[in-house]
Amino acid sequence: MTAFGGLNQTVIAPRRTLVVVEDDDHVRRALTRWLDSRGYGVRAFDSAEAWLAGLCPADAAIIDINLPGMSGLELDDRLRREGRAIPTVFITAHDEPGPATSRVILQKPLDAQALLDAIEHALAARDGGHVAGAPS
Amino acid sequence: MRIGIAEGIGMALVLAGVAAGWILERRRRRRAEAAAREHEAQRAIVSEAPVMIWRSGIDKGCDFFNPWWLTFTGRTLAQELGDGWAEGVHPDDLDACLASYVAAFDARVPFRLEYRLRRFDGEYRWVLDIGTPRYDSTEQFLGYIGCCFDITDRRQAEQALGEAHAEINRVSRLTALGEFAAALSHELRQPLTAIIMNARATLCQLENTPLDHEAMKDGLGDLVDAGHRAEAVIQRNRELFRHRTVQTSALDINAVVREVVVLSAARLREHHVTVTTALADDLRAVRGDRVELLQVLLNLLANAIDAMERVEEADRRITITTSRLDQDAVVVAVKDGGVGFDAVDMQRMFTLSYTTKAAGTGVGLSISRSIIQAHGGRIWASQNADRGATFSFSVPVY
Repeated sequence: MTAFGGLNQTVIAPRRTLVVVEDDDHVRRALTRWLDSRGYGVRAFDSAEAWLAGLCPADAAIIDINLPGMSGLELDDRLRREGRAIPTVFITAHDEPGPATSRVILQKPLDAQALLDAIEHALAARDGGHVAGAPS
Repeated sequence: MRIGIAEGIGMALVLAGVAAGWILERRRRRRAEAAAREHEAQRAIVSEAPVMIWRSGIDKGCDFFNPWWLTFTGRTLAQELGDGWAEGVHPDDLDACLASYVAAFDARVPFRLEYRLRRFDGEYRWVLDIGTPRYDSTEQFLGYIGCCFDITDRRQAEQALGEAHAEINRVSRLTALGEFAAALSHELRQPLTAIIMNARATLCQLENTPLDHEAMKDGLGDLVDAGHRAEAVIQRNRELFRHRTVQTSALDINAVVREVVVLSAARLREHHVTVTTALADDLRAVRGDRVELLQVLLNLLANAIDAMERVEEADRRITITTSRLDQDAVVVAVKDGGVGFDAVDMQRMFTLSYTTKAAGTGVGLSISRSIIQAHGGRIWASQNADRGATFSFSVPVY
């Protein structure tokens, strides 16, 4: 019984580390569980401030736009200003994510595969065309 | 010839008499001239005043129209006299106009009427007609006198205002609905995301050997939690509406029906719809909120009017009946001659946002159902045997 046509056979090596910034406990735990099951190393935070407080290097981030305190977009702006920007996929439960931007924004409820695709796409863009799973 | 004293006195008296007569005659003539001038001045006021003036005799027929009236209608005095003026009244307004005139006339009371009158150029203009009974110096009734004003512009402004209000109401209802829907979907998207991610992760773990039962149990436990959370969101939103209290009192349901007919009069007239009522006179008072029941009836009337949009004007009829359902409840039924339910999903028609109208919100029947259920009654719809539909609702007696 294979639910995703052998997707689970894909070995992601070396292990990528993702940061999840999401204030909703249910969503944060579920995202962590899903990404972990797909072979990523996951560090999860419930606010932008919590992530900034602990210096946690990561390959990419999944950031909720509507966070208490600093919003997801403000967090991204700050990281860009400080030259610490990493590939990011934004998620939101709202209908309209706001003004058109070049950012990748996925609307909840998330499609699990679409989230993986967006993460891999962002990583590949950073790596300058390297495909997912290829040694970096 | 010598004149005696007596003769002298007699002659003087005659001269004085002649002089007095002459003076009196002059005064009488002056008075007559003054009266004629006054009459002429009054006649000038009547003919020059920028109002349309008419006068009728005791036979109700008109015996005078001022020039301003004749200029407006573009007809001759001979054409307008008697009942001739009525030829210029819009056919749709004529019956009501004549009935009101005759009723006021017979009761000898002043009246105010609004009807459409054909202008010289063929355009029907709305006029306000104000009439009052007139009497002579001995209080003898002589008929009526009245004047008309062209109030078309005012009525158009009122109508535009009414339409603007209706549109604002529609849009604000839609906006409120839209905001509510956005808030609800935002709240539901969180647990839905958790459900999907947990389910996907657990499915993934199923492929592992050996199975990590603890991890899968955690995932499924979180999935169930998220499901409960979604249910809680829905419950909380339901509570928002459930705590609506109905201010009930003993109500005469027939009075509510009569009130709604009055409230809808303008709309009904505008759409050329005739309403007849058949109200049972042995009904007990119902337990209800007058304003909310009015709202339900207004919604049902509005639907009935819309349903008959494409029906011949002569066939646009609505019948509202009240009757006893049983010992405990009264039924109100609104029957129209409209399009019926051929294109209507009967299962969904009372649900929120279901509509068959291009500009509808789908709120009317949904609100009506909420109101009637809050009253402890029931609302239902049926297709008429001949044409159109009947919406009925029951309300418990007090």
